[in-house]
Order: sequence, then structure tokens, then C-alpha cells
Amino acid sequence: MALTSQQQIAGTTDGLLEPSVGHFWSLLKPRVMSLVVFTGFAGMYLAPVSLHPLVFAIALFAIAAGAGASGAINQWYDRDIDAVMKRTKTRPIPAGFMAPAEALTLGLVVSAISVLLLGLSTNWLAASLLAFTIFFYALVYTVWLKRRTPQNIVIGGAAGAFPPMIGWTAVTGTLSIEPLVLFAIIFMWTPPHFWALALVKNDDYARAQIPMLPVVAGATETRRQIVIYAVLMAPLAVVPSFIGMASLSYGVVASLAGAVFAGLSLKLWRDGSDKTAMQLFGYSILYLFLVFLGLVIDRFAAGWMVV
Amino acid sequence: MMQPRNQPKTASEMQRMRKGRNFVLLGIIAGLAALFYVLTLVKIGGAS
Repeated sequence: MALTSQQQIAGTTDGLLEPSVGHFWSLLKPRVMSLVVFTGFAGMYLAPVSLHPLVFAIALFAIAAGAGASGAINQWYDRDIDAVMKRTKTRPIPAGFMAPAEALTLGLVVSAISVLLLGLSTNWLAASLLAFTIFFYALVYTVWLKRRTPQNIVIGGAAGAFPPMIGWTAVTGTLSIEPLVLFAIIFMWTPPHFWALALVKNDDYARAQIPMLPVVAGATETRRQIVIYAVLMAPLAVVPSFIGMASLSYGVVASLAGAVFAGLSLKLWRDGSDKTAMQLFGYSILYLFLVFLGLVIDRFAAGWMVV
Repeated sequence: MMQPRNQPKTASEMQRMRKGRNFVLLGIIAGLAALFYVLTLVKIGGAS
């Protein structure tokens, strides 16, 4: 019997809307993946040894896939609060495009493939770090911290800070001070970045009962914490110049970029406006891009001058 | 974000959409198989 009406079609899909490939893609949080690809690439490129280009590309792909997989598991677990928040209610699960089990399956399968691929292409220390990152984001941050403590972003931020460390380890097979500095920069960058957004989206988080710092401690305390983290983060980004990882030129650029970050944080502390909060949020993305691009260009220029 | 306007209106549209998704999945699996094959060749070739 031919199906012709929308109702009959709906009846064949358990009431779910028909998902497109784009819905599955959006489950992997492509914007987060792009940041992971960039910082992971920087970690790999800055390492003192090099990989075969194909192995390099496969390792980077595996790191990105691992990040995407943890995003899918995050969306599976957070489907109840995603449905309440304006910012997330159009995600595939709350919007009714797929069953939660489909998202979880995708997340687990892609997690396994990404760890296996990284281990086989590079080394198992890097693969273990990737597995730990997925575990940390999906369980420690999403399941344990996010709904329990206003420090969710601070501790959970470690998950976003791991990719350059994984990239470095994938190339060298070991850990050293340099990848730890890259980790520390992103770790200290994460709280002011997310809290700037949380100040503006405060009502959304409050409605979903997520204890973000502005919801629990108020806007004034959040702005104070943003300044503290920004002031601590700015000098950290200059450290690569002092440990032989980058030149003085990079240090000057990082100092200037950090000064702007701290200046915007102070401006937000004083005026407390949504406009400044969004300015800081936007600039924080540019800042991280500038710092890591600066490191990559610096290394490229150093190699070029040697040649 | 994807909107419900992408929804199929007839059974044949729905089948076409599912067929498209299946082909994408086939492409991903084939791509992964090729990736592991090429990776094996590169590793056997002595690349670190």
C-alpha cells in the first residue's frame, strides 16, 4: 500500500521527524570540532619531530572525530536541558529528528574508531589521551560536573585543552613541558570565554537549572572571576617565548593580544553590559586563534630562516 | 540549524532521503576501509 500523507509517513518513523545527514553532522558539534582541529594541528606542527603527511592528516582526523564523538554523547545526555534552552532546543534530539539511542550509538562508535585510528596511526599514548579526553568530556564534565557545580566550566575546560597535547604526543610519543603550556593556555582561557557568554545567556541557563557561575554567584562575582582568569592567562600565553618554543616576536604579539583581553575584561567588570560581554566573548575566540596561529607562524618562519 | 521544512511529504521522498543517507554511510565505511588500507601501506613502508 502506497504511503502518501505526512501522517502515514510519521507513523512509520515512531513519531520522529526524518533526519538528514546534516542532523547527524550537527550532532558532532562541528564548530567545536573546528577549534579542536586547529589547536590539535598546532600541537602537532609545533612538535620538534615530524610525521609522514598522510599519517599527520589521519591523526588530526582521529582527534577531530574523537571530539565530535564526545559532542554526540554530550547531546545524548543533555537532551532534557537542551530542550529547555533557547540556544540548544533546535539540536537534533530535542527537535525530534532522532532517538537518543541513535545519538549515543553514533557517539560510542565514532569514539571507538577515533581512538583505534589514532593508536594505529601514531602511538597508544596519544590514543590513551584521546580516550581520556572523551571520557573526561562525556562523563566527568557532562554527567558529573555540569549540573552540580559552578566550577563546571573550570574543571571541564580541561577536556577542551587536551587536543594540542594529544597532537604533540601523537607526533613525539612523549609528553613534555611544551604541550603542558599549550594545555594551560586553553585551560585558563576557557572560563572567561564561557562566562562572558553565560552572563548574556543567564536566563537560559537559569531556566535549565544549570549552575553556571552567573546563575549561582551573580553577575558581579562572575565579572570579577573573569578579570582574575584573564589576568592570569595573558602572561601564560607569553611563556612559549621563554622556554625556547617561540621567538620574542611571538611574545610581543601574545603580550599585546593578552593586554587587549585583560582590558576588555576590566571594561566588562566596570560597565557590566551585555554588549561588552559579547565583545569579550567574540574577542576571546579571536585571541585563541591569534595565539595558536602566532605559534605556528613563528615555527614556520624559524624553519624558513634556517633553510 | 536544520528545520522541519526538510521533511519529506510523500513516501517516495522519504525513501529517497533514507537511500541518500544509506549511500553516505556506505561512503563513510568504504572511506574508513580505504583509510586503514592506505595507513597500513604507509606504516609498512616505514613512515613513523
